[in-house]
Amino acid sequence: MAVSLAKGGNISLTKTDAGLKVVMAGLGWDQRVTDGTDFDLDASVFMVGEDGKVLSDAGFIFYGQKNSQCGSVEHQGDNRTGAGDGDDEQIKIDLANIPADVKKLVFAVTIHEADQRKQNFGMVSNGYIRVSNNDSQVELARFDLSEDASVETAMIFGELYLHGTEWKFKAVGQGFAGGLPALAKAHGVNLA
Amino acid sequence: MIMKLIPGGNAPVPTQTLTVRVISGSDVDVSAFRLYENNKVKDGGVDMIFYGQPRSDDSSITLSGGALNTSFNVNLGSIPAAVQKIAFTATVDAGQVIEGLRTLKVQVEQAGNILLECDVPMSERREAALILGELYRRNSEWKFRFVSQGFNGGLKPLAEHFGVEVADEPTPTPTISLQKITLSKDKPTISLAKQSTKFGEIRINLNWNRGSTHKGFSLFKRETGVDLDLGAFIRLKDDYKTVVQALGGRFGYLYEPPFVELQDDDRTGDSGDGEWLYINGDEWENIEEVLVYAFIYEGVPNWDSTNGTVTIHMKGQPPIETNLTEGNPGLGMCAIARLKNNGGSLNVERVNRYFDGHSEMDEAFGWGFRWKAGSK
Repeated sequence: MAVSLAKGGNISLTKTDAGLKVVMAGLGWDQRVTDGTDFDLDASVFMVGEDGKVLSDAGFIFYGQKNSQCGSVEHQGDNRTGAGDGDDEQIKIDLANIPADVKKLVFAVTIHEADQRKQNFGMVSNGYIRVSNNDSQVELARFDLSEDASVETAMIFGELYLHGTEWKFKAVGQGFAGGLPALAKAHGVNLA
Repeated sequence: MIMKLIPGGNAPVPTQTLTVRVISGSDVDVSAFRLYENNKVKDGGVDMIFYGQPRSDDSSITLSGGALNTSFNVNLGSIPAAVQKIAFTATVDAGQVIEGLRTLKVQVEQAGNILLECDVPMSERREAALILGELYRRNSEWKFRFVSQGFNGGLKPLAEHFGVEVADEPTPTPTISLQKITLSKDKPTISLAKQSTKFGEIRINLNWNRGSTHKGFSLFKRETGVDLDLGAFIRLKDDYKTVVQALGGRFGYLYEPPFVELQDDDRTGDSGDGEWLYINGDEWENIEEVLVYAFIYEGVPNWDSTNGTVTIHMKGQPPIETNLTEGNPGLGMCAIARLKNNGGSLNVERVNRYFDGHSEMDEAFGWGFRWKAGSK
Protein backbone atom coordinates (compact mmCIF):
# COMPACT_ATOMS: atom_id res chain seq x y z
CA MET A 1 0.00 0.00 0.00
CA ALA A 2 1.43 3.33 -1.00
CA VAL A 3 0.61 6.19 1.27
CA SER A 4 0.63 9.62 -0.24
CA LEU A 5 1.26 11.92 2.63
CA ALA A 6 0.08 15.45 2.90
CA LYS A 7 2.83 17.82 3.99
CA GLY A 8 3.26 17.55 7.75
CA GLY A 9 1.27 14.35 7.91
CA ASN A 10 2.91 11.40 9.58
CA ILE A 11 2.44 7.67 9.59
CA SER A 12 3.64 5.03 11.91
CA LEU A 13 5.67 2.81 9.67
CA THR A 14 5.98 -0.08 12.05
CA LYS A 15 2.22 -0.11 12.61
CA THR A 16 1.38 -0.05 8.91
CA ASP A 17 4.06 -2.54 8.18
CA ALA A 18 4.82 -4.76 11.14
CA GLY A 19 7.62 -6.52 9.30
CA LEU A 20 9.53 -3.32 8.65
CA LYS A 21 13.22 -3.80 9.36
CA VAL A 22 15.05 -2.17 6.50
CA VAL A 23 13.85 1.04 4.87
CA MET A 24 14.95 1.99 1.39
CA ALA A 25 14.82 5.62 0.34
CA GLY A 26 14.63 5.80 -3.45
CA LEU A 27 15.17 8.75 -5.74
CA GLY A 28 14.23 8.45 -9.37
CA TRP A 29 14.11 10.67 -12.42
CA ASP A 30 14.27 10.42 -16.20
CA GLN A 31 17.41 11.14 -18.11
CA ARG A 32 17.32 14.41 -19.99
CA VAL A 33 16.19 14.00 -23.60
CA THR A 34 16.39 17.63 -24.63
CA ASP A 35 19.70 19.37 -25.27
CA GLY A 36 21.50 20.92 -22.33
CA THR A 37 23.33 19.90 -19.17
CA ASP A 38 22.25 16.60 -17.59
CA PHE A 39 20.00 16.62 -14.57
CA ASP A 40 22.00 15.26 -11.64
CA LEU A 41 19.82 14.69 -8.59
CA ASP A 42 21.30 13.60 -5.29
CA ALA A 43 19.75 11.84 -2.32
CA SER A 44 21.18 12.49 1.14
CA VAL A 45 20.42 11.61 4.73
CA PHE A 46 21.21 13.58 7.87
CA MET A 47 21.39 11.49 11.03
CA VAL A 48 20.53 14.06 13.68
CA GLY A 49 20.16 14.19 17.43
CA GLU A 50 17.66 15.89 19.71
CA ASP A 51 18.68 19.36 18.50
CA GLY A 52 18.20 18.57 14.83
CA LYS A 53 21.97 18.66 14.13
CA VAL A 54 24.26 15.86 13.10
CA LEU A 55 26.18 14.32 16.00
CA SER A 56 29.32 14.60 13.91
CA ASP A 57 30.10 15.14 10.24
CA ALA A 58 29.98 11.36 9.91
CA GLY A 59 26.21 11.62 10.25
CA PHE A 60 25.87 13.21 6.82
CA ILE A 61 25.37 10.42 4.29
CA PHE A 62 25.64 11.57 0.68
CA TYR A 63 27.54 10.79 -2.54
CA GLY A 64 30.79 11.90 -0.88
CA GLN A 65 30.35 9.76 2.24
CA LYS A 66 28.34 6.70 1.47
CA ASN A 67 28.30 4.80 4.76
CA SER A 68 27.54 5.72 8.34
CA GLN A 69 30.02 4.63 10.97
CA CYS A 70 27.41 2.37 12.53
CA GLY A 71 26.84 0.72 9.19
CA SER A 72 23.07 1.16 9.39
CA VAL A 73 22.85 3.75 6.60
CA GLU A 74 24.28 2.94 3.18
CA HIS A 75 24.19 5.12 0.09
CA GLN A 76 24.10 2.74 -2.87
CA GLY A 77 25.87 5.01 -5.29
CA ASP A 78 25.74 8.26 -7.19
CA ASN A 79 23.84 8.41 -10.45
CA ARG A 80 24.84 11.49 -12.44
CA THR A 81 22.23 11.47 -15.21
CA GLY A 82 19.10 9.55 -14.24
CA ALA A 83 19.87 6.78 -16.72
CA GLY A 84 18.15 3.50 -15.92
CA ASP A 85 14.72 2.34 -14.80
CA GLY A 86 13.25 2.55 -11.33
CA ASP A 87 15.13 4.24 -8.50
CA ASP A 88 18.29 5.92 -9.71
CA GLU A 89 19.76 6.49 -6.27
CA GLN A 90 19.00 4.54 -3.13
CA ILE A 91 19.88 4.85 0.53
CA LYS A 92 19.35 1.78 2.66
CA ILE A 93 18.56 2.15 6.36
CA ASP A 94 18.74 -0.77 8.76
CA LEU A 95 16.40 0.38 11.53
CA ALA A 96 17.66 -2.08 14.15
CA ASN A 97 21.23 -0.79 14.09
CA ILE A 98 20.69 2.93 14.31
CA PRO A 99 22.53 4.24 17.39
CA ALA A 100 20.32 5.32 20.26
CA ASP A 101 21.50 8.93 20.20
CA VAL A 102 20.29 9.37 16.66
CA LYS A 103 16.74 10.64 17.05
CA LYS A 104 15.88 11.38 13.50
CA LEU A 105 16.91 10.68 9.93
CA VAL A 106 16.25 13.57 7.58
CA PHE A 107 15.89 12.72 3.88
CA ALA A 108 16.88 15.38 1.40
CA VAL A 109 17.03 15.61 -2.36
CA THR A 110 19.00 18.24 -4.22
CA ILE A 111 19.95 19.10 -7.79
CA HIS A 112 23.70 19.22 -8.24
CA GLU A 113 24.80 22.71 -9.32
CA ALA A 114 21.18 23.76 -9.82
CA ASP A 115 21.97 27.47 -9.87
CA GLN A 116 24.82 27.28 -12.36
CA ARG A 117 22.82 24.93 -14.56
CA LYS A 118 19.63 26.97 -14.10
CA GLN A 119 17.63 23.87 -13.25
CA ASN A 120 14.76 23.01 -10.95
CA PHE A 121 12.71 19.89 -10.22
CA GLY A 122 9.97 20.97 -12.65
CA MET A 123 12.40 20.69 -15.57
CA VAL A 124 13.15 17.11 -14.67
CA SER A 125 10.76 14.47 -15.97
CA ASN A 126 9.19 12.01 -13.54
CA GLY A 127 11.31 13.03 -10.56
CA TYR A 128 10.22 11.45 -7.28
CA ILE A 129 11.52 10.44 -3.92
CA ARG A 130 10.00 7.63 -1.91
CA VAL A 131 10.57 5.36 1.03
CA SER A 132 9.72 1.71 0.94
CA ASN A 133 10.06 -1.47 2.93
CA ASN A 134 13.18 -3.05 1.50
CA ASP A 135 12.04 -6.58 2.24
CA SER A 136 8.47 -6.43 0.94
CA GLN A 137 9.17 -3.68 -1.64
CA VAL A 138 5.99 -2.00 -0.40
CA GLU A 139 6.09 1.73 -0.94
CA LEU A 140 5.36 3.69 2.23
CA ALA A 141 5.46 7.29 1.06
CA ARG A 142 6.21 9.13 -2.15
CA PHE A 143 6.66 12.71 -3.27
CA ASP A 144 6.35 13.76 -6.90
CA LEU A 145 9.16 16.27 -7.34
CA SER A 146 8.50 17.25 -10.95
CA GLU A 147 4.92 18.09 -10.20
CA ASP A 148 4.67 19.27 -6.63
CA ALA A 149 8.11 20.77 -6.00
CA SER A 150 8.55 22.07 -9.52
CA VAL A 151 10.26 25.37 -8.86
CA GLU A 152 12.48 24.04 -6.04
CA THR A 153 16.11 22.98 -6.41
CA ALA A 154 16.50 21.28 -3.03
CA MET A 155 13.96 19.74 -0.73
CA ILE A 156 13.61 18.05 2.61
CA PHE A 157 11.44 15.13 1.67
CA GLY A 158 10.66 13.73 5.08
CA GLU A 159 11.88 12.50 8.42
CA LEU A 160 12.10 9.07 9.91
CA TYR A 161 11.96 9.31 13.69
CA LEU A 162 11.57 7.07 16.66
CA HIS A 163 8.45 7.71 18.69
CA GLY A 164 8.68 5.49 21.74
CA THR A 165 9.52 2.18 20.14
CA GLU A 166 7.84 2.97 16.86
CA TRP A 167 9.47 4.31 13.76
CA LYS A 168 7.33 7.02 12.19
CA PHE A 169 7.67 8.83 8.92
CA LYS A 170 6.73 12.46 8.59
CA ALA A 171 6.32 13.99 5.16
CA VAL A 172 7.89 17.43 5.09
CA GLY A 173 8.02 18.40 1.41
CA GLN A 174 9.80 21.64 2.23
CA GLY A 175 11.81 23.43 -0.43
CA PHE A 176 15.20 24.76 0.53
CA ALA A 177 17.26 27.49 -1.08
CA GLY A 178 21.00 27.12 -1.59
CA GLY A 179 21.26 23.45 -2.46
CA LEU A 180 23.12 20.74 -0.60
CA PRO A 181 25.75 23.05 1.00
CA ALA A 182 23.03 25.15 2.66
CA LEU A 183 21.14 22.04 3.76
CA ALA A 184 24.28 20.54 5.24
CA LYS A 185 25.08 23.72 7.14
CA ALA A 186 21.53 23.89 8.48
CA HIS A 187 21.97 20.39 9.86
CA GLY A 188 25.22 21.22 11.60
CA VAL A 189 27.68 19.78 9.10
CA ASN A 190 31.06 21.51 8.98
CA LEU A 191 31.75 21.99 5.30
CA ALA A 192 35.30 22.27 4.08
CA MET B 1 -5.00 37.68 -11.70
CA ILE B 2 -2.02 36.91 -13.87
CA MET B 3 0.25 34.22 -12.55
CA LYS B 4 3.84 34.20 -13.74
CA LEU B 5 5.53 30.87 -14.22
CA ILE B 6 9.24 30.24 -14.38
CA PRO B 7 10.61 27.41 -16.56
CA GLY B 8 9.73 24.10 -14.91
CA GLY B 9 6.74 25.61 -13.13
CA ASN B 10 3.19 24.38 -13.50
CA ALA B 11 -0.30 25.49 -12.59
CA PRO B 12 -3.81 24.06 -12.85
CA VAL B 13 -6.04 25.49 -15.58
CA PRO B 14 -9.84 25.30 -15.96
CA THR B 15 -11.24 22.62 -18.26
CA GLN B 16 -12.59 25.26 -20.64
CA THR B 17 -11.68 26.68 -24.01
CA LEU B 18 -8.26 28.24 -23.50
CA THR B 19 -6.01 30.23 -25.76
CA VAL B 20 -2.31 29.46 -25.74
CA ARG B 21 -0.64 32.48 -27.29
CA VAL B 22 2.98 32.74 -28.36
CA ILE B 23 4.40 36.22 -28.81
CA SER B 24 7.88 36.67 -30.22
CA GLY B 25 10.30 39.40 -31.19
CA SER B 26 10.62 38.09 -34.73
CA ASP B 27 9.00 35.44 -36.93
CA VAL B 28 8.73 32.00 -35.43
CA ASP B 29 6.89 28.83 -36.41
CA VAL B 30 4.66 27.60 -33.64
CA SER B 31 3.16 24.10 -33.65
CA ALA B 32 1.15 21.89 -31.33
CA PHE B 33 1.56 18.14 -30.88
CA ARG B 34 -1.21 15.93 -29.57
CA LEU B 35 0.47 13.33 -27.37
CA TYR B 36 -0.75 10.01 -26.06
CA GLU B 37 0.79 7.53 -23.60
CA ASN B 38 4.57 7.78 -23.47
CA ASN B 39 4.50 11.35 -24.74
CA LYS B 40 4.25 10.32 -28.36
CA VAL B 41 1.91 11.13 -31.22
CA LYS B 42 -0.22 8.35 -32.63
CA ASP B 43 -0.04 9.59 -36.18
CA GLY B 44 2.31 12.36 -37.18
CA GLY B 45 0.05 13.44 -40.03
CA VAL B 46 -2.94 13.97 -37.76
CA ASP B 47 -1.55 14.84 -34.34
CA MET B 48 0.48 17.83 -35.40
CA ILE B 49 -1.30 21.17 -35.72
CA PHE B 50 0.65 23.81 -37.58
CA TYR B 51 0.09 26.37 -40.31
CA GLY B 52 -0.13 23.62 -42.93
CA GLN B 53 -2.82 21.89 -40.90
CA PRO B 54 -4.32 24.58 -38.68
CA ARG B 55 -7.11 22.49 -37.22
CA SER B 56 -7.15 19.14 -35.48
CA ASP B 57 -9.41 16.49 -37.01
CA ASP B 58 -11.94 16.98 -34.20
CA SER B 59 -11.59 20.78 -34.28
CA SER B 60 -10.72 20.87 -30.58
CA ILE B 61 -7.39 22.55 -31.37
CA THR B 62 -7.18 25.37 -33.90
CA LEU B 63 -4.33 27.63 -34.85
CA SER B 64 -4.63 31.26 -35.85
CA GLY B 65 -2.29 34.13 -36.46
CA GLY B 66 1.38 33.43 -37.04
CA ALA B 67 4.76 35.15 -37.32
CA LEU B 68 4.98 37.37 -34.20
CA ASN B 69 1.69 36.37 -32.58
CA THR B 70 0.40 32.83 -32.95
CA SER B 71 -2.45 31.45 -30.92
CA PHE B 72 -4.04 28.07 -30.39
CA ASN B 73 -7.59 27.73 -29.24
CA VAL B 74 -7.86 24.55 -27.25
CA ASN B 75 -11.22 23.24 -26.12
CA LEU B 76 -10.02 21.12 -23.22
CA GLY B 77 -13.48 19.68 -22.57
CA SER B 78 -13.55 17.99 -25.96
CA ILE B 79 -9.98 16.67 -26.13
CA PRO B 80 -10.23 12.87 -26.62
CA ALA B 81 -9.67 10.96 -23.37
CA ALA B 82 -6.65 9.13 -24.78
CA VAL B 83 -4.78 12.39 -25.35
CA GLN B 84 -2.59 12.97 -22.30
CA LYS B 85 -0.82 16.10 -23.30
CA ILE B 86 -0.71 18.88 -25.87
CA ALA B 87 2.79 20.27 -26.34
CA PHE B 88 3.43 23.67 -27.91
CA THR B 89 6.68 24.27 -29.73
CA ALA B 90 8.58 27.07 -31.40
CA THR B 91 11.04 26.55 -34.21
CA VAL B 92 13.25 28.92 -36.13
CA ASP B 93 14.71 28.59 -39.60
CA ALA B 94 17.76 26.45 -40.21
CA GLY B 95 20.95 28.18 -39.12
CA GLN B 96 19.15 30.34 -36.55
CA VAL B 97 18.70 29.87 -32.82
CA ILE B 98 15.85 30.79 -30.48
CA GLU B 99 17.99 33.49 -28.87
CA GLY B 100 17.78 35.40 -32.14
CA LEU B 101 14.06 36.02 -31.57
CA ARG B 102 15.08 38.46 -28.81
CA THR B 103 11.81 37.92 -26.91
CA LEU B 104 9.57 34.90 -26.62
CA LYS B 105 6.57 34.63 -24.37
CA VAL B 106 3.72 32.20 -23.83
CA GLN B 107 0.37 33.25 -22.42
CA VAL B 108 -2.47 31.01 -21.39
CA GLU B 109 -5.71 32.92 -21.69
CA GLN B 110 -9.35 32.30 -21.00
CA ALA B 111 -12.02 34.49 -22.56
CA GLY B 112 -9.52 37.28 -23.15
CA ASN B 113 -8.08 37.19 -19.63
CA ILE B 114 -4.48 36.15 -19.16
CA LEU B 115 -4.22 33.33 -16.62
CA LEU B 116 -0.57 32.41 -16.96
CA GLU B 117 2.40 34.29 -18.32
CA CYS B 118 5.66 32.58 -19.21
CA ASP B 119 8.70 34.56 -20.34
CA VAL B 120 11.29 32.35 -21.98
CA PRO B 121 14.74 33.31 -20.65
CA MET B 122 16.60 34.22 -23.83
CA SER B 123 20.23 34.35 -22.83
CA GLU B 124 22.31 31.51 -24.28
CA ARG B 125 19.22 30.01 -25.84
CA ARG B 126 21.10 27.93 -28.41
CA GLU B 127 18.24 25.65 -29.37
CA ALA B 128 16.68 25.88 -32.83
CA ALA B 129 13.48 24.22 -31.60
CA LEU B 130 11.96 24.68 -28.18
CA ILE B 131 9.18 22.91 -26.33
CA LEU B 132 7.54 25.99 -24.89
CA GLY B 133 4.98 24.39 -22.67
CA GLU B 134 2.36 21.73 -22.38
CA LEU B 135 -1.22 21.30 -21.33
CA TYR B 136 -1.47 17.95 -19.58
CA ARG B 137 -3.83 15.80 -17.59
CA ARG B 138 -3.11 15.34 -13.92
CA ASN B 139 -5.50 13.69 -11.47
CA SER B 140 -8.52 14.29 -13.74
CA GLU B 141 -7.81 17.96 -14.19
CA TRP B 142 -5.75 19.92 -16.70
CA LYS B 143 -2.54 21.72 -15.90
CA PHE B 144 -0.06 23.79 -17.86
CA ARG B 145 3.68 23.38 -17.53
CA PHE B 146 6.21 25.93 -18.74
CA VAL B 147 8.89 23.64 -20.20
CA SER B 148 11.36 25.86 -22.09
CA GLN B 149 13.65 23.03 -23.19
CA GLY B 150 14.51 21.99 -26.69
CA PHE B 151 16.87 20.81 -29.34
CA ASN B 152 19.87 22.50 -30.94
CA GLY B 153 19.25 20.44 -34.07
CA GLY B 154 15.84 22.01 -34.57
CA LEU B 155 12.71 20.48 -35.93
CA LYS B 156 14.00 17.02 -36.76
CA PRO B 157 15.04 15.95 -33.25
CA LEU B 158 12.00 17.74 -31.85
CA ALA B 159 9.62 15.87 -34.13
CA GLU B 160 11.39 12.59 -33.45
CA HIS B 161 11.14 13.26 -29.72
CA PHE B 162 7.38 13.28 -30.14
CA GLY B 163 7.44 10.11 -32.22
CA VAL B 164 6.87 11.78 -35.57
CA GLU B 165 8.62 9.89 -38.33
CA VAL B 166 10.96 12.22 -40.11
CA ALA B 167 11.56 11.50 -43.75
CA ASP B 168 15.00 12.37 -44.94
CA GLU B 169 15.08 14.57 -47.98
CA PRO B 170 16.38 12.76 -51.06
CA THR B 171 18.74 15.64 -51.78
CA PRO B 172 20.23 17.88 -49.13
CA THR B 173 18.45 21.21 -48.82
CA PRO B 174 18.99 23.90 -46.23
CA THR B 175 15.58 23.29 -44.70
CA ILE B 176 14.58 20.24 -42.72
CA SER B 177 11.40 18.43 -43.45
CA LEU B 178 9.42 18.48 -40.27
CA GLN B 179 7.43 15.36 -40.89
CA LYS B 180 5.69 13.44 -43.56
CA ILE B 181 2.09 14.22 -44.31
CA THR B 182 0.26 11.36 -45.89
CA LEU B 183 -2.74 12.16 -47.97
CA SER B 184 -5.24 9.37 -47.88
CA LYS B 185 -8.88 8.72 -48.60
CA ASP B 186 -9.79 10.02 -45.16
CA LYS B 187 -7.64 13.07 -45.40
CA PRO B 188 -7.40 13.98 -49.05
CA THR B 189 -6.37 17.65 -48.99
CA ILE B 190 -3.89 19.95 -47.42
CA SER B 191 -3.69 23.67 -47.90
CA LEU B 192 -0.42 25.52 -47.66
CA ALA B 193 -1.05 29.12 -46.78
CA LYS B 194 0.09 31.96 -48.92
CA GLN B 195 3.63 32.76 -48.01
CA SER B 196 5.30 36.07 -47.53
CA THR B 197 8.20 34.53 -49.38
CA LYS B 198 7.61 32.39 -52.47
CA PHE B 199 7.02 28.67 -52.47
CA GLY B 200 10.40 27.92 -54.03
CA GLU B 201 11.01 24.78 -56.00
CA ILE B 202 8.28 22.18 -55.63
CA ARG B 203 9.69 18.74 -56.39
CA ILE B 204 7.37 15.86 -57.10
CA ASN B 205 8.77 12.37 -56.99
CA LEU B 206 7.26 9.17 -58.33
CA ASN B 207 8.87 6.01 -57.12
CA TRP B 208 7.78 2.47 -57.59
CA ASN B 209 8.65 -1.12 -57.07
CA ARG B 210 10.93 -2.43 -59.79
CA GLY B 211 9.37 -5.66 -60.97
CA SER B 212 12.53 -6.97 -62.65
CA THR B 213 15.13 -6.80 -59.95
CA HIS B 214 15.20 -10.52 -59.13
CA LYS B 215 18.88 -11.30 -59.08
CA GLY B 216 20.57 -14.67 -59.27
CA PHE B 217 18.98 -18.05 -59.61
CA SER B 218 15.23 -18.09 -59.32
CA LEU B 219 12.57 -20.68 -60.03
CA PHE B 220 10.29 -17.89 -61.08
CA LYS B 221 10.34 -16.30 -64.43
CA ARG B 222 11.66 -12.82 -64.48
CA GLU B 223 8.88 -10.30 -64.43
CA THR B 224 8.77 -7.62 -67.03
CA GLY B 225 10.06 -4.29 -65.79
CA VAL B 226 7.37 -1.78 -65.19
CA ASP B 227 7.91 1.68 -66.63
CA LEU B 228 5.86 4.31 -64.90
CA ASP B 229 5.76 7.78 -66.38
CA LEU B 230 5.07 10.90 -64.41
CA GLY B 231 3.31 13.80 -66.10
CA ALA B 232 1.19 16.86 -65.55
CA PHE B 233 -1.54 18.93 -67.11
CA ILE B 234 -0.84 22.57 -66.45
CA ARG B 235 -3.17 25.53 -66.71
CA LEU B 236 -1.71 28.99 -66.19
CA LYS B 237 -3.55 32.08 -64.98
CA ASP B 238 -3.73 33.41 -68.55
CA ASP B 239 -5.60 30.22 -69.54
CA TYR B 240 -2.66 28.75 -71.43
CA LYS B 241 -2.69 25.02 -70.93
CA THR B 242 -0.19 22.34 -71.77
CA VAL B 243 1.04 18.84 -71.00
CA VAL B 244 4.42 17.86 -69.55
CA GLN B 245 5.47 14.22 -69.83
CA ALA B 246 8.27 12.09 -71.28
CA LEU B 247 5.96 10.57 -73.87
CA GLY B 248 6.12 12.86 -76.87
CA GLY B 249 9.27 14.52 -75.47
CA ARG B 250 7.32 17.27 -73.72
CA PHE B 251 9.68 17.94 -70.83
CA GLY B 252 8.52 21.52 -70.19
CA TYR B 253 10.47 24.43 -68.73
CA LEU B 254 11.07 25.56 -65.19
CA TYR B 255 11.93 29.24 -65.67
CA GLU B 256 9.47 30.06 -68.42
CA PRO B 257 5.90 28.93 -69.04
CA PRO B 258 4.64 26.40 -68.10
CA PHE B 259 7.09 26.62 -65.10
CA VAL B 260 6.89 22.84 -64.82
CA GLU B 261 9.73 20.58 -65.92
CA LEU B 262 10.17 16.84 -65.98
CA GLN B 263 13.63 15.65 -64.98
CA ASP B 264 15.39 12.67 -66.59
CA ASP B 265 13.12 9.78 -67.47
CA ASP B 266 13.71 6.61 -65.49
CA ARG B 267 12.75 3.78 -67.79
CA THR B 268 12.86 0.93 -65.30
CA GLY B 269 12.72 2.44 -61.85
CA ASP B 270 16.20 1.06 -61.26
CA SER B 271 17.83 4.43 -60.76
CA GLY B 272 16.63 4.28 -57.20
CA ASP B 273 14.74 7.45 -56.71
CA GLY B 274 12.29 7.22 -59.58
CA GLU B 275 11.05 10.17 -61.60
CA TRP B 276 11.04 13.82 -60.69
CA LEU B 277 8.78 16.63 -61.83
CA TYR B 278 9.70 20.15 -60.74
CA ILE B 279 7.30 23.07 -60.38
CA ASN B 280 8.69 26.57 -60.05
CA GLY B 281 6.81 27.70 -56.94
CA ASP B 282 8.21 31.21 -57.26
CA GLU B 283 5.90 31.54 -60.26
CA TRP B 284 2.91 30.19 -58.37
CA GLU B 285 1.01 33.45 -58.92
CA ASN B 286 1.03 32.64 -62.65
CA ILE B 287 -0.18 29.06 -62.24
CA GLU B 288 -3.83 28.14 -61.92
CA GLU B 289 -3.69 24.37 -61.64
CA VAL B 290 -1.36 21.43 -62.04
CA LEU B 291 -2.85 17.96 -62.36
CA VAL B 292 -0.18 15.36 -61.64
CA TYR B 293 -0.61 11.88 -63.04
CA ALA B 294 1.25 8.67 -63.62
CA PHE B 295 0.71 6.07 -66.28
CA ILE B 296 2.07 2.66 -66.93
CA TYR B 297 3.99 2.91 -70.19
CA GLU B 298 5.21 -0.65 -70.14
CA GLY B 299 4.29 -3.59 -67.98
CA VAL B 300 1.10 -4.90 -66.52
CA PRO B 301 -1.32 -2.35 -65.14
CA ASN B 302 -1.36 -3.84 -61.68
CA TRP B 303 -1.03 -0.88 -59.33
CA ASP B 304 -0.96 -2.82 -56.10
CA SER B 305 2.17 -4.75 -57.05
CA THR B 306 3.71 -1.62 -58.56
CA ASN B 307 3.56 -0.01 -55.13
CA GLY B 308 3.89 3.49 -56.50
CA THR B 309 4.40 6.40 -54.13
CA VAL B 310 4.24 10.05 -55.02
CA THR B 311 5.91 12.52 -52.69
CA ILE B 312 5.70 16.28 -52.98
CA HIS B 313 8.66 18.13 -51.51
CA MET B 314 8.58 21.84 -50.83
CA LYS B 315 10.96 24.21 -49.14
CA GLY B 316 10.18 24.42 -45.44
CA GLN B 317 7.35 21.92 -45.71
CA PRO B 318 6.92 18.35 -44.63
CA PRO B 319 6.89 16.00 -47.61
CA ILE B 320 3.35 15.25 -48.74
CA GLU B 321 2.95 11.65 -49.68
CA THR B 322 0.26 9.65 -51.43
CA ASN B 323 0.25 6.00 -52.40
CA LEU B 324 -1.00 4.71 -55.72
CA THR B 325 -3.10 2.00 -54.23
CA GLU B 326 -6.71 1.00 -54.69
CA GLY B 327 -5.89 0.87 -58.39
CA ASN B 328 -8.14 -0.81 -60.82
CA PRO B 329 -6.22 -3.57 -62.60
CA GLY B 330 -6.33 -2.97 -66.31
CA LEU B 331 -6.52 0.80 -66.09
CA GLY B 332 -3.09 2.19 -66.89
CA MET B 333 -3.58 5.83 -65.96
CA CYS B 334 -3.75 7.35 -62.51
CA ALA B 335 -4.66 10.94 -61.73
CA ILE B 336 -2.65 11.44 -58.56
CA ALA B 337 -3.08 14.93 -57.20
CA ARG B 338 -4.22 18.39 -58.07
CA LEU B 339 -2.29 21.46 -57.01
CA LYS B 340 -4.60 24.44 -57.22
CA ASN B 341 -3.98 28.12 -56.76
CA ASN B 342 -6.58 29.21 -54.27
CA GLY B 343 -6.23 32.98 -53.91
CA GLY B 344 -2.46 32.68 -53.70
CA SER B 345 -2.37 29.70 -51.38
CA LEU B 346 -1.43 26.27 -52.62
CA ASN B 347 -4.05 23.59 -52.27
CA VAL B 348 -2.91 20.00 -52.67
CA GLU B 349 -5.69 17.51 -53.27
CA ARG B 350 -5.20 13.77 -53.48
CA VAL B 351 -7.22 12.47 -56.42
CA ASN B 352 -6.23 8.84 -56.94
CA ARG B 353 -8.62 8.10 -59.77
CA TYR B 354 -7.82 5.56 -62.46
CA PHE B 355 -8.49 5.80 -66.17
CA ASP B 356 -7.92 3.90 -69.37
CA GLY B 357 -5.71 6.62 -70.79
CA HIS B 358 -5.03 10.33 -71.31
CA SER B 359 -8.19 11.19 -73.15
CA GLU B 360 -10.47 9.53 -70.59
CA MET B 361 -8.74 11.39 -67.78
CA ASP B 362 -8.85 14.64 -69.73
CA GLU B 363 -12.55 14.20 -70.25
CA ALA B 364 -13.19 13.44 -66.58
CA PHE B 365 -11.50 16.66 -65.46
CA GLY B 366 -12.62 18.77 -68.43
CA TRP B 367 -9.25 19.92 -69.78
CA GLY B 368 -10.03 19.65 -73.51
CA PHE B 369 -6.74 18.52 -75.05
CA ARG B 370 -6.69 16.66 -78.38
CA TRP B 371 -5.11 13.22 -78.06
CA LYS B 372 -3.34 10.87 -80.44
CA ALA B 373 -1.12 7.86 -79.77
CA GLY B 374 2.58 8.51 -79.40
CA SER B 375 5.82 6.82 -78.39
CA LYS B 376 9.02 7.78 -76.62
